[in-house]
Amino acid sequence: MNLSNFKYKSLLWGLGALAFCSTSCKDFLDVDVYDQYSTESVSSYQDCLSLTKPLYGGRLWSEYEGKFSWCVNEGVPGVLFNVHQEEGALFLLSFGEDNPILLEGYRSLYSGVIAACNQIIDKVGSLETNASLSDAEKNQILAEARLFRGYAHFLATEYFGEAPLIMHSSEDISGNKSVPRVSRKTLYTAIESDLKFAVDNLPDNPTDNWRASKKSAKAMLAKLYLTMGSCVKDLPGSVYPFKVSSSESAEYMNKVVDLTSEIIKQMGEGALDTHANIFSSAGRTAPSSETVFALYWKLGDYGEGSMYQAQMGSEEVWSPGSGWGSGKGISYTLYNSFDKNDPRLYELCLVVDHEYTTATGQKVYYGPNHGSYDIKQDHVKTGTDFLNTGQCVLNNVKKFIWGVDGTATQEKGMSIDRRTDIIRLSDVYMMRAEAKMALEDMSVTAKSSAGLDDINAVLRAHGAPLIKSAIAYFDDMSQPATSYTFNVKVDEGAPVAISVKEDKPMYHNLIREDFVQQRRKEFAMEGQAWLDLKRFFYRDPESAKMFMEQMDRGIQFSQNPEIQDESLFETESGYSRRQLVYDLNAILMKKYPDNGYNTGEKEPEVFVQSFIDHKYWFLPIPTSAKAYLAPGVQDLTSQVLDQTYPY
Amino acid sequence: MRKVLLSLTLLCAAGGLMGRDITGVVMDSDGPVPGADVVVQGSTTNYEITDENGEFTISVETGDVLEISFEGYQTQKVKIDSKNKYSVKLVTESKQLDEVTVTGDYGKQKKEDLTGSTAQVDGSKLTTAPTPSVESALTGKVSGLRVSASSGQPGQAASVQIRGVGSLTGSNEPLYVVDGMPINGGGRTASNDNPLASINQNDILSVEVLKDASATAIYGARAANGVVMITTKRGKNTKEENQESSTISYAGQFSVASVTDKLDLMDLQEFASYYTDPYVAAAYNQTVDKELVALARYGGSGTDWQDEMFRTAISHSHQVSLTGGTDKTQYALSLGYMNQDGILVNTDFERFNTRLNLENQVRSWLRIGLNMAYTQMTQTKQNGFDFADDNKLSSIGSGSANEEAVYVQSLISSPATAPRDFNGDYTELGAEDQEIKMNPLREAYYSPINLKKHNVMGQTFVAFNITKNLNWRNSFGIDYASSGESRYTPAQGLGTNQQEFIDRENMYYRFCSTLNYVLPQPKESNHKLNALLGYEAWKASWEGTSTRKNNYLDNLKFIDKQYQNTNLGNAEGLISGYKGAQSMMSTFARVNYTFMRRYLVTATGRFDGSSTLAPENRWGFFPSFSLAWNADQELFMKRITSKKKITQLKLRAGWGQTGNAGNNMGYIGSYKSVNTQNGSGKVYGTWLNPDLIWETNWQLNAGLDASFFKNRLNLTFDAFYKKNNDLIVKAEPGPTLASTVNSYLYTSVPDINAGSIKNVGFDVTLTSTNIQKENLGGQPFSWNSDFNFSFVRNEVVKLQSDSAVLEGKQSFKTATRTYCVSRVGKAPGLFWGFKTDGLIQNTEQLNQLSRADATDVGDFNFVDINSDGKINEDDKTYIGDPNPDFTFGFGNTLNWGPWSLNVFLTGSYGNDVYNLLRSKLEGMDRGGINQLKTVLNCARVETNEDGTKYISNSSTNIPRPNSVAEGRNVANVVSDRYVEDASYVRIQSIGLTYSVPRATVKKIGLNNMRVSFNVQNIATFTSYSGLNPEVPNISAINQGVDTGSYPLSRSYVIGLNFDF
Repeated sequence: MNLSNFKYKSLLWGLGALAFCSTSCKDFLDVDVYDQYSTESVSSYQDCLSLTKPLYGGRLWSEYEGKFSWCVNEGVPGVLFNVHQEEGALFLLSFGEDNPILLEGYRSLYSGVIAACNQIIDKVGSLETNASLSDAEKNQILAEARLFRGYAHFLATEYFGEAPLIMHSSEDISGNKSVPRVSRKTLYTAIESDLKFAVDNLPDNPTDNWRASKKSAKAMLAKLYLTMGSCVKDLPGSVYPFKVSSSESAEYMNKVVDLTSEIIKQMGEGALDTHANIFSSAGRTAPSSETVFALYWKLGDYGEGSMYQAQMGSEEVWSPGSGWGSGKGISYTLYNSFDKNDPRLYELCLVVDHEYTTATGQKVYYGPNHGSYDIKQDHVKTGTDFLNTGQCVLNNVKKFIWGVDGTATQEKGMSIDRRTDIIRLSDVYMMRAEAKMALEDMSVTAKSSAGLDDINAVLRAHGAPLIKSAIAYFDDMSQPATSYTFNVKVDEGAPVAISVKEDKPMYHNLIREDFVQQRRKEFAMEGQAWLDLKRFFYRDPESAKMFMEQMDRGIQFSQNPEIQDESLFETESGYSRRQLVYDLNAILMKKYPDNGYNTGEKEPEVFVQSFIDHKYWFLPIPTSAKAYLAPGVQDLTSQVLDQTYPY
Repeated sequence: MRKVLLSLTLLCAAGGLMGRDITGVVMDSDGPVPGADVVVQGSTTNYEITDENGEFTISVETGDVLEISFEGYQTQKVKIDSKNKYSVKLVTESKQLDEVTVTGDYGKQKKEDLTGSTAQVDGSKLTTAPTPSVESALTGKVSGLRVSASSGQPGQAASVQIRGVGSLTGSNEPLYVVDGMPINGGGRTASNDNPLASINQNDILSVEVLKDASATAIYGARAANGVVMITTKRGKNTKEENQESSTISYAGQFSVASVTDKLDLMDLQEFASYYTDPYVAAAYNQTVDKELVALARYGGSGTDWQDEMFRTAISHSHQVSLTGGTDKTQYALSLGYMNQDGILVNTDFERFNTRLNLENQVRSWLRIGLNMAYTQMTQTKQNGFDFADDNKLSSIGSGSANEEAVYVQSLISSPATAPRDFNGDYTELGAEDQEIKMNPLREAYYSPINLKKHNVMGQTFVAFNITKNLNWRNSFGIDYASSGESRYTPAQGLGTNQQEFIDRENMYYRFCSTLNYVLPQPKESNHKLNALLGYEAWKASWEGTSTRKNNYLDNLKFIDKQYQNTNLGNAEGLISGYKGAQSMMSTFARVNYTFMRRYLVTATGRFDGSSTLAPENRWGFFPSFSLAWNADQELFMKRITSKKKITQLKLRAGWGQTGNAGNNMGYIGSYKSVNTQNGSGKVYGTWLNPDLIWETNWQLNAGLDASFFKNRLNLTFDAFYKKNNDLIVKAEPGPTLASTVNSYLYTSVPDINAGSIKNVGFDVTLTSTNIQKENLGGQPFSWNSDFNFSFVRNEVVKLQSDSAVLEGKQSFKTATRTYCVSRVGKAPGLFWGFKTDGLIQNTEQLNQLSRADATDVGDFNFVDINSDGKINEDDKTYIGDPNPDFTFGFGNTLNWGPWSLNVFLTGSYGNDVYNLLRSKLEGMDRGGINQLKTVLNCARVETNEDGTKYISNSSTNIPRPNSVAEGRNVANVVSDRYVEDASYVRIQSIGLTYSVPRATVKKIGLNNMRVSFNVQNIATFTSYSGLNPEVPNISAINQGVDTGSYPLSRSYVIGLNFDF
């Protein structure tokens, strides 16, 4: 064995090995994720389109839709009567920051939508553009995400006022517990920037007709400007109150008129459709002719579909096995304000003895029987053939309730497919009307005919009675105190008259024709009432306070009331006073101590004082979310403007 | 002056007789040996030490015998004749195990040359216990190594920690290296898999534990929790061993095991008297059960479910091995079989394994070798015991219940129900939605988890001697495992009639190439240098599928084992799969330098690149540096201390860093596919964190090795300070994700680098020969002791924020609750809950409390920690510490001629256990289930005439029975009621071995024969009320909660070993 010869061989081996190592080095450590879609795998336009799909409904919005939306958007402003536990606390205005429904909404917006948007924006923003992803396509994806981020922040600030503004996905994992709540100006500025980007970069007519288009972004921007432009009064309680001057307000309102006009011009008055069509079962999933911007829910697993039907529907008819609509119903104040010839009423709720048809073709009625009201299937209205003798329940919401098909399982009942319009064309008309009215007169109670054409266009298309001459933003309610007499049924005996003197008039007694009420009727159960009320509040806090104060939340649909007052209620409507607002219970207890009033269930109280004190016009930030926030509020508008906003 | 004194002493010793001075020189093959002992035999005072030139001068008389000794060499004897000058040649001692630390592919080092903290266990010490898994056998054998044998399930892994806690939420298990190849390497293994169970202990030559960073640094990443190196037996050159041929050996064991103890549950009479007591019945809103009264009247103690579930388990194992070889080729071949039954019915472990170790010197410059093992294992387990293990692997700070474990179910089963009816069929007991969910015995027989695994593991190497001093070694190893798990659930009991199979395939391969240079050593050189340069790469990949089918043969409630397969199912099946891979690449270098055999320096540097980190953060550099001083080699030391008193004194100090890159590819997020109305979309499933970097573990170690009195007393002491930084943990959600860990949303938080933990402690190992007599009753006698002691204090130094709390959760009794919390400045995983202050004795005491709950007289009085007059979450406080203050092992061996008696004790002090199982067995919150006998003395609340209440048996510490779900007493309220001191001392084993004298065995053609009798787990002295004070730890932040593990057994083992 020649040693020198061997060295040479070894060297060859060694060089070979080194070559092997160095060439395979890079690849060897590049291991991919094999059993999941990795973030690395997303690069093309098609990949990116699949990222924005979940923004349109499903789990990200699920908690918002599940309870928060109808408890806050409909419950707080008194559109939907419901006194059940935490849900009812929002209707009765007796909630606090620990109410779990507030947290559900907060986290659906922040942990769901805003977090997902930031992830998309950060991810797609970092992608190189190439043949499979053009600059325009990339910007379209970013625009979609920014539209949703803007929308979610808009909702957050309308609900929670000075709320966090989260613009970077890294913030979600920072563990940072000193993220500030920011001023409304900061939020509005960021939202405006997102929405403007969306207006600039979304296509006029997306290939997928359900996706957000340029007009979706314009409509949202109009909504933002309408809101900002309404902030003309001083609001107490904030270091950084948001207020615009009258000239600024006019500027915003002009922008609203411009934006809405562009949309109306593009879509045309013919796109306005009847409620029967917009909310029809057959057309419930696809965009309607009125749809400008909408969410879409899939029939399927829990969290993917809409929970709304299960929450509102009747178990017997609409949602077998999962209908929890008992005890929920359109409030008497709203019901009573409808003209009985207005077809929208019959789409909104079940009217006694009116015939309804379910998705499977069953005829149902809502009617009295044996002292109760109930929904019966295939009922031929002859005498007393209602079969059920169940307890009377208020369960009359109809809008968006169709019943799923006969094969529906319990899970599917909890998760139905539908479209939720965020903005439909009627809203665009109404926004233009509102802006015109605002430009005409800053006083809320002054009657005007400025926006009347737009309002009537909507009413006409929907078959509702038109408004003849002029309309006020809000009817003056400063009327003198009234005394009421209730006929109270005590111990199965004949009703006894009880007199209650109030220092405020009761709103339920008024059939109103103001603009606020028009919007309530048109968009009831569509998630608008709270936002409408907020604009009203910004415009005139005192009137808004009065509105809250004088609304009678104590009446529900019931055939077995403790109090019967023929003079107050239309009996055929099935509504009667069962829950008390004012001090009637105490009077009864004093007067009839032995008749069960002192031991019976406590009547819920309506804590309207919180609103009178301005406390809850902005909902409290939920306790457990607050733990992640710095105390106090900061104005970081300049950082948003120069794009150095850190969170 | 000193010389004078010394001379005087010598004078006295010599009794006035003056000898003459002779001179000599002591040499070894390399040259003079300075510091060697030169002693006149029989004298305690007349000795000298060789100087720098190996020379000595000593006063002697003709006829004296000089003993010349030096560590590592055979002692030489020289008879003094008339010569005045002597030359003595020292011959190195034949290789002794504890002298060489084999570092696998990373070369060999003499222990003398080591600068780090290591410990070694002889393989023969691991085979006395009939456990299939080697780590259990290490219990108490090594200081700094804490082994918790928390499960008695045959084949189940024990949890091992070296020097405390390195990771908060991840694994704290050390890296296991078999013959130089890391196993369980990177990547995910099956949750039920214990890779160590595939190694036959009879094949093990030695186990070494590398503790400090300077010792583990060469292993780089993955060595952050220390290294356990397992070396298997090699072949040998029979000529060198003076044997004629190869050796065939047999090792066999037969053992009988039974449960050590039973819980004190109520028997039928007690059960009936408790539940038919109107006071108790009322507490559960029940009327007195008349059937139960009648049943009890027949007498008897009813069904003892523990007796039904436990059995006497019989196990046996056999191993035949062949070792031998020539100077060119050495081989070791072994075949082994083990069959172990568990003490719970229908649990067992069976293993067949074979191993071949083969080496060949092909040319003078080329050596090749192979070591390869194949193992086949089957295991039958009872459900419920694996849940904690599952969670351990997924590294999440939460555990799941053993509530459905058949063992736990058997404990609460009523003694009034029989397991079988008159026909011998299993009775129908319980249902899924009830407290008693099943007939546990039937569930045990019909619904166990069956595991099957095939494993091939081994490596080949090719080594070239490029020059005499330069060696180039290349090795390639694989570890392949294919395993299957099946589980059948009958229609009754836990749920639907269902069959589930999980198939897993794990592949791991590794390539390692090293260049090892040894400095040529001319005779006069005082420099010794060894340098290593290497490259290593490994890749692990795993995939698996799970299939499930329901409702098959739906007219049957449960079916026999042979028909349990998915083909018979008639409902929709469920199929899922997983697949993944991980790789790592490293280059490393190490230099050992020794000057004059006294001053030692080791420096190591290693670059590791991990696929789990983003390309820009992928590479980490992990250096270490250590120094040692063999003080005993210093001439001045030799001169000032009698060599007989201090034979060795070595001081060591080292600093080093290792790292961990985690197992998740945190830099790549993953999307989940989601259904939307408009087709499939994607949302983040796991959030990405591209900034994830290596977590680092740096450690400072100072140690001392000393031997006294001619090595009769050996001490190793190490003190360490260990700090892990940038720990990879799950992020705390930021403001957006605030309190939103919620199933509606998809995203789970990513891994981030946050947090730091430190461990400070010391390890002591003391071995001694207490008595050594050449002759005691005609036989040599000796008594040796081994004692090791470990003390560790750990503290969470940093978390993502100062206010962050890491919670350790367990779900038990339907609710998931926090039992442990980890906060900055405290030890990890402290128990957190209410402090109790006796029972509320009467209405007066009750009324002093402001109450929101249904608390009443007879409930626990919780301490109002913040004195706000309310008892709520704010009154929770630290109620116990699951971290032990110290652990120890103490072994004693008495050798008397052919007899050897070994007694081994282990213990732990200062750790608490949260006895969650007792909360179920003493909770009294549900009627109809069996409870511990202690509840018979529950508080009896009586009412005075004025309506006030009081406890009539006021001395009791057991509260009133109460079916209020959220009351204070119930099982799911976390309070110190269930925190117990789990310190213990265990007599781990007593063994007696008889080595049949050679003369006798030769007659029957054998070389050696040994018979042994061994008792394992004899007694545990503890105040802990459960069966085993060692409980499984899910992670450092979730530990010490006893949810009812598989009980340990006491076993009696007979062993037979012989070779020929």
